[in-house]
Amino acid sequence: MFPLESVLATNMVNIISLSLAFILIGLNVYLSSQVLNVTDLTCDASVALGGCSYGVLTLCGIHPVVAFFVSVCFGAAAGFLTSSLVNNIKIEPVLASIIILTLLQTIIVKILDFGKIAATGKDEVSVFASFSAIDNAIITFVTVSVLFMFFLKMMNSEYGLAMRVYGDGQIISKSLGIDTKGTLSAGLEIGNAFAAAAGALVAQITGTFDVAMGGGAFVFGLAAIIIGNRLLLPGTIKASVFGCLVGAVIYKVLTEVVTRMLGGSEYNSIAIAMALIFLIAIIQDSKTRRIT
Amino acid sequence: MIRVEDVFVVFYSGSPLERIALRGINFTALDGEVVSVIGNSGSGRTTLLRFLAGHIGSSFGRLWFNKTNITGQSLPERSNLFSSVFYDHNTGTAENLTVIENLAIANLHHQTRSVFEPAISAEMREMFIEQLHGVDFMGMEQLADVRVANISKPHRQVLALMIAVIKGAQVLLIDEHSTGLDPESSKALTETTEKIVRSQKITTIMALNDPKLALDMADRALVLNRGQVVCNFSGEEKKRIKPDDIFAPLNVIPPAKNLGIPQ
Repeated sequence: MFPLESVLATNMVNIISLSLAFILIGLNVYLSSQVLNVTDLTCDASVALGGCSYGVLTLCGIHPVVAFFVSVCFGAAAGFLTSSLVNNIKIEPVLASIIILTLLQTIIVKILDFGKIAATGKDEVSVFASFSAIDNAIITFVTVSVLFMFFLKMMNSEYGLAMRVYGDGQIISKSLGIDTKGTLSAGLEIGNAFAAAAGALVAQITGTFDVAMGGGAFVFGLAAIIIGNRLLLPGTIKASVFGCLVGAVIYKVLTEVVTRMLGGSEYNSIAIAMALIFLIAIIQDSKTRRIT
Repeated sequence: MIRVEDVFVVFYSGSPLERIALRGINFTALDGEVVSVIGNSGSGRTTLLRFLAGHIGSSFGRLWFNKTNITGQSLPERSNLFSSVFYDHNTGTAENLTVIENLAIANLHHQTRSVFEPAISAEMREMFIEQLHGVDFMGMEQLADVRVANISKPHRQVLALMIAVIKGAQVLLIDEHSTGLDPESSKALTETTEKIVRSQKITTIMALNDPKLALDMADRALVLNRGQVVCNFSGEEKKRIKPDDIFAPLNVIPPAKNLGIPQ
């Protein structure tokens, strides 16, 4: 066990940066599960895809900004694949996203293999090391703020309204003249682009990336939404988006602090504890139905 | 003008459960005319209205709007012309949006929607609140910012009517929209419906759960039995007939074979 003070002193900046990055995962799950009312599990793979492609590209010597945009595009492509399965082959969104999730695992492993080849014979010092923790925190803060403002603006825009109608059912969306296929596609693309951005930021902050880095992202997002909604009791769409933000930060900071205090060896008991906290939050939530 | 020509709708075609819901429906509704579809349960009223709305396709026959054949048009394409207010209030209003947001999305009907433009500007808001005052229905204007899932059914149905008007729909389809309401709000809803339909001069095809009321409101009465139009009254002829003349022959229970129950 590590005492709380030492954990906070050495890792607080990184913990804050990580929790900021995880806001984007919260927003992705909010967009798919609350707004569009589909269960999109692609995000688990999108996070890993974003993180690994960002990591490999920067290892290959590509400028981090370019690498970031490329990995975000990869995330959007993952969302596009899922939505086209739903739109064109009429597969249930959950199933479609699981198929794409499995498919992407293989692609991510291929990307990592490519990264290993690219990295051999090169200086091991990657671009990650050239940024300090504070630099990473500033980069994360700026990126997440820009994306968050975009998300907030989009939710209250004409298009955001159409997305919210999509969540109310096909017949009403169609009779209001909404292009249902296009809306689902755009929603999942934006959501997974956000998840990939989160993955890229996590890779940048922690300096590591692997195929399993996105595991549990969807559950994390749901937990963030529920915790945020319990705390803020939002009545408007803007408030519930902020609820997502608050929930994501609280949940991530708590998990990170507790995991680091236990030093990773007792990670399994932590997982159980977090699952229980999440369960309690759900039970609390079902007692008082949320407003938005 | 809307013309229905020889329309057949067959469910579970080719299977033992095959059920012919509409067998050759023919009628014409003139511009601004209010057509009441009258008939027993199982006579094909709802099927006819759902076919017109584009929720289900026809097996045979044509549907004309003025001089265009719109039989093959899907629900989104048809939503330019048609608007529906059905007993299932989820098909007419979006429940996760507030009342004003519903009106705003109807206002944006078939336009390109911007990702950055705020959906509701201050002046639009004012315009919608004025319109809510205009319908003058059970304190509708106080519900402007309430989520639609949290307002009562009559308010939701009036909202669906307002959406139809704002969309600029040419044809309004109503199917028992006051089902499940208490007599008072049912009456208020019917009155508001009549006011909106008459003032906007929308061609309306409706089925009400009170056939006598439907007969009173309509310019044309269409009596359906077992998927066929058995009477089509309009003008003077409609004024002369009494409800009993229509309902007496209908009160015969059809044999089980026609209900599609396998024997």
